[in-house]
Amino acid sequence: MEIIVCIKPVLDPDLPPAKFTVDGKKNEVIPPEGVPFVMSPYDALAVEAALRIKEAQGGKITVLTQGTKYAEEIMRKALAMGADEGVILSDPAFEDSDGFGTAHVLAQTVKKIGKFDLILCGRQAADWDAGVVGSLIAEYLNIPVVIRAKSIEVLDGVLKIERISTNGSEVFELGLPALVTLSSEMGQVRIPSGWGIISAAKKQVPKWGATDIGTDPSQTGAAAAVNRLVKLYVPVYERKCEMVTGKDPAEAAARLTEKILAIKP
Amino acid sequence: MEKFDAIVVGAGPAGCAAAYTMAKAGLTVLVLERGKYTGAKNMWGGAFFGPVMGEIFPEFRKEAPVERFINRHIISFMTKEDCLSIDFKSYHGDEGSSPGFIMLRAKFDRWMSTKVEQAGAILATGLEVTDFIFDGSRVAGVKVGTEEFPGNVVILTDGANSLLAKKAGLRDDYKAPDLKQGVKEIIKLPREVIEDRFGVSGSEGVVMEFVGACTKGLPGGGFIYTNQESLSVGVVVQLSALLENNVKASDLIEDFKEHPSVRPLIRNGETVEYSAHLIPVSGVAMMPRLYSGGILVAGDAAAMVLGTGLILEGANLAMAAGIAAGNTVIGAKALNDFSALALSQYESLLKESFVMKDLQTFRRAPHFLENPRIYNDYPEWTCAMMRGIFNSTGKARRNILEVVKESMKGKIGLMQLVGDTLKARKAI
Amino acid sequence: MTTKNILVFGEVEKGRLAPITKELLGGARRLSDQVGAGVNLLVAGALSGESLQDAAEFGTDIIYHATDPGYGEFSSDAYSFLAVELCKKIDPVLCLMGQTDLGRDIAPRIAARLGAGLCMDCVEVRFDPAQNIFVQTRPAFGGKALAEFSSPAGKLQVNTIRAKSMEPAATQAGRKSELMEIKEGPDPSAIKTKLVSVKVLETDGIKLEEAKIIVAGGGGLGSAEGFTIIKELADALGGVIGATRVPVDENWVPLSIEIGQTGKIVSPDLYIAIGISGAAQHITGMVSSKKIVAINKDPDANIFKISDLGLVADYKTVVPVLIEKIKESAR
Ligand SMILES: Cc1cc2nc3c(=O)[nH]c(=O)nc-3n(C[C@H](O)[C@H](O)[C@H](O)COP(=O)(O)OP(=O)(O)OC[C@H]3O[C@@H](n4cnc5c(N)ncnc54)[C@H](O)[C@@H]3O)c2cc1C
Ligand SMILES: Cc1cc2nc3c(=O)[nH]c(=O)nc-3n(C[C@H](O)[C@H](O)[C@H](O)COP(=O)(O)OP(=O)(O)OC[C@H]3O[C@@H](n4cnc5c(N)ncnc54)[C@H](O)[C@@H]3O)c2cc1C
Ligand SMILES: Nc1ncnc2c1ncn2[C@@H]1O[C@H](COP(=O)(O)O)[C@@H](O)[C@H]1O
Repeated sequence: MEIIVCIKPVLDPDLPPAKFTVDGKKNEVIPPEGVPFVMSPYDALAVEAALRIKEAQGGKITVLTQGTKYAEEIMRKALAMGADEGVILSDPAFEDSDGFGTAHVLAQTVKKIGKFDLILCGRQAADWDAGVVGSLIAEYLNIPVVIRAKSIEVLDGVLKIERISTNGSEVFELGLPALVTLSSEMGQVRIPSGWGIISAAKKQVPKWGATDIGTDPSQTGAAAAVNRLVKLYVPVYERKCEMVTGKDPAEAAARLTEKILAIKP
Repeated sequence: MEKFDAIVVGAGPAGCAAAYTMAKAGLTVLVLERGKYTGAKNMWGGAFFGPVMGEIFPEFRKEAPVERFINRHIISFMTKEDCLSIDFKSYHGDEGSSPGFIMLRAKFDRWMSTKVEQAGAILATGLEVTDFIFDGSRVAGVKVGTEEFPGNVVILTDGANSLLAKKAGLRDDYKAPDLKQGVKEIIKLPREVIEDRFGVSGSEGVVMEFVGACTKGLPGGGFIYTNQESLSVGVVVQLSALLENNVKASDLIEDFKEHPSVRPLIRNGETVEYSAHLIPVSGVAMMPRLYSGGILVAGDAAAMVLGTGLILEGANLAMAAGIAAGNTVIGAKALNDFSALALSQYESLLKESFVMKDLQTFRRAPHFLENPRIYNDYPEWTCAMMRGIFNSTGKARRNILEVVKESMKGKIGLMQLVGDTLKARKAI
Repeated sequence: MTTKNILVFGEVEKGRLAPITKELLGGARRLSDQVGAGVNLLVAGALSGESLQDAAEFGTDIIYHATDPGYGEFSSDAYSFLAVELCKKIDPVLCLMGQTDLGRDIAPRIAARLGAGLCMDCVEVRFDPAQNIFVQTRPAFGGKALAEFSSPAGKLQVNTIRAKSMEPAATQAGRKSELMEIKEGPDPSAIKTKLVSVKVLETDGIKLEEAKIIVAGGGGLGSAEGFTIIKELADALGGVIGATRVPVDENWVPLSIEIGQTGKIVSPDLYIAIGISGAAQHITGMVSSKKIVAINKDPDANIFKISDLGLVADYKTVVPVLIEKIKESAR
């Protein structure tokens, strides 16, 4: 199995709201100083899924990331988890691409790599939470796609994917090559071992640019974005909270009950 | 399994300086850091003194994330309601030659660790060293949980209260006054506001130190340093005094921020970070053995902190010691001898450097600084004296000597004052 | 088709129009009045007469009903094909879907095929008549931020809409709409994935999204038993239970009751948050609740910032009292 995994560096989604600030003039998030970006947690699930498939039946895992800032860090993390190779897609022409642009870059890279059976992505990047790039890559490569998988099984060249739906669960079958995006129901992601980190640090990670993968300049970068960000702001949801107290918890609870009964529909 | 020439435990200033020195010389170096990323768990006040940074990273003035260069020191004695300050401004030289500058750990650690990686060392974060591999009595590597990492030499730079130094048999338990607790907030303010309030412009910066009411009279002090667009505001207090008096350091910092001479400086600022950290303060008195077979200790792990009372210097000593440790290992590697004897070179190098010289010079300071009069009586007295001098009551003024005597009455004995002054001369 | 139109991709639940579809029709109706367009509804699969009537009364002008058995059950491939074919025929200016299993799946795919603009998980879609464009607002960064996007003029927009963010239109009894049947099935070559089994988890009683009262528990409950306590509270109040991600990850409760960015979006009249810290990813799914009550032992917990009533306490000491008092009052 030749598996390709797409990962993205994102501002740590677990950062407390106090550390999240937006530059209202530039419509950008201001990352807190010295705090590096992390691999989007759903993408880590995709790496994990790839490793599980490889452990079950052998194969090779190639990791792709398009980005400049912290691309190297998250790539090393994926390699430390056990991925075999990585390519960083970095070119000024790629910067500030929207989902279509990013998918174009990644699809072109997959074409250049040529041989692949399975592409894995996260269900959504934990920055913009769009959840489109996986499906778009599949469209550009004209291969089947299942999104938000809980588990992946490969049997005689057929993928069996279970996913959790709003009302229960569904199982799909599809042929290879295919693209699957992973959701948090997949389970725990392994922590790289020390020796994993050491061997990852020694690997060469090539950087490919627009000319290496033959992207169409009219399809990447900020200028190619279809829908444009015009405003980014931190919403204020604050309500005035009336704190209920009492001489002991029981009394406070009794008071709270009265107030709840008063507003209960 | 691959064996490294050196394994460095902890990627603070000491560890990075050691790793960088060795990696540049072509040694295979592994740095293990427990933080999720470098700097994740670290803090300091942020004033760096001396030329050591420039010696190891000649390019640092262009590259390093320096917030501001120090050209103004303010030392203040405070009581609950008063504050007497000595304000020293220096316009010698320019920012390029200033011997002191202010940095934030988060940015500084990251910059330094990138340098270390570029020099060829392997930096692995998220790994906490828990034990050593021993070869007889000689240290032969480290363990992270069940994983083992063999190395010819381990350099311990794991910071204050190093449990590993104890595990390696290099030190005993510390005594109660050996550790201070530092707590610090980073308070965001616009650049222009900082420059207005602190009377600086461009890349100029101010270091303010406070003694007295800011620690409720407990041994310690308060500080405010100017960053580019934030202030580092903190208090440092003897840990044992906190415990004995049942005081929380976090409450002290709140009181400090409320002091009438501090409040206006931080007004409208937004606290974006709060952190706490230990500091070893007893200097040579608490120093562990600095080397043994296959192991060296440097930085806070070896209590290389200079506390003269007003300023705290640790990062510069840590780096200088890291360099000395690195050079020792380079020498040992050339002879392929990592025995205690070969590594004793480390102590010789340190003795020649300012690290041990300064620590020796100020060896009495820690004990002197335990004197409670410094934090209670003297600030009270000096402030009372100033009040007396400036107090215009409408009556005829008394001469200054009378005011001084009056302000001392019932508070400080003349003999005590003379004794403390003499001790101070020896200690600091 | 020459007149402008907005296309809503509808969803059917047990033969009736799903609540999200009614919300989308409400939003589409308001936009269409500004844009000067008609509202078209596309539905696939079995549909009752009542739901056709519903569709008309909630504001649909033309209903396209795909009746081929190939559309009998959800298929990303088939539904993408269907939507693309219809869009080519009726050339809508805007295509709205719910941010649901269906919308997440097919919105990017049809946008790619039609070269359309795309915006997912919108909480608002506005029409800007001056520029003749649509403007979308959507949460980002796990709900910590809101982002506004402008779309290019003259290009189809495919937007998915978050539940509870558009109001259903007031029904107009007896309103009629035109019914167009799509008889052709999907092109077999378009079908690449096969749905081999579906498991439906029947929820007893009220659905979380439709509940008027929700008692939600978080990591602070500490165990599955904690949820039996708050279930009792929910029962006493006539509500249902919900959860944050932590109890779901710990397997104390099923995923189907997770609330938040990756779970359900709810806005009940009363939301009681117990042992919940108030992370952005959770808040984004419940912040529009009418009244929010929080019980947390940490006085600085973020949840209090968005609550109307707060109690700082260990839930174990107060929730039993709440249950007892509420039962008392019911007697
Ligand atoms: C409040 C405060 C203010 C200060 N102000 C100043 C000042 O203004 N100027 C100044 O020069 N000094 C100051 N200092 C002192 C200075 O911070 C220290 O002396 C300096 O950081 C020491 O460097 P180090 O590398 O020895 O240790 P540290 O900087 O503490 O680094 C130790 C590293 O080791 C890691 N580590 C610990 N244990 C393990 C383990 N088991 N495995 C792996 N990694 C581990 C830690 O995560 C850390 O990264 C201040 C200190 C405090 C607390
Ligand atoms: C990409 C991404 C997507 C996510 N999506 C979602 C989502 O859709 N929904 C979601 O909920 N989360 C989501 N999360 C997780 C989210 O970030 C938080 O981790 C989660 O919401 C925290 O849940 P909690 O508040 O229940 O738990 P904790 O953060 O563990 O908080 C527990 C709270 O309980 C209090 N407490 C503890 N004991 C008691 C007691 N005895 N009595 C009273 N109070 C007590 C504590 O003070 C604390 O405030 C997502 C995270 C990521 C990164
Ligand atoms: N810049 C990128 N580099 C590599 N993969 C990406 C990038 N952006 C998105 N992806 C992949 O596409 C998935 C969905 O992203 P999004 O559509 O942006 O939410 C992510 O989880 C990644 O697997």
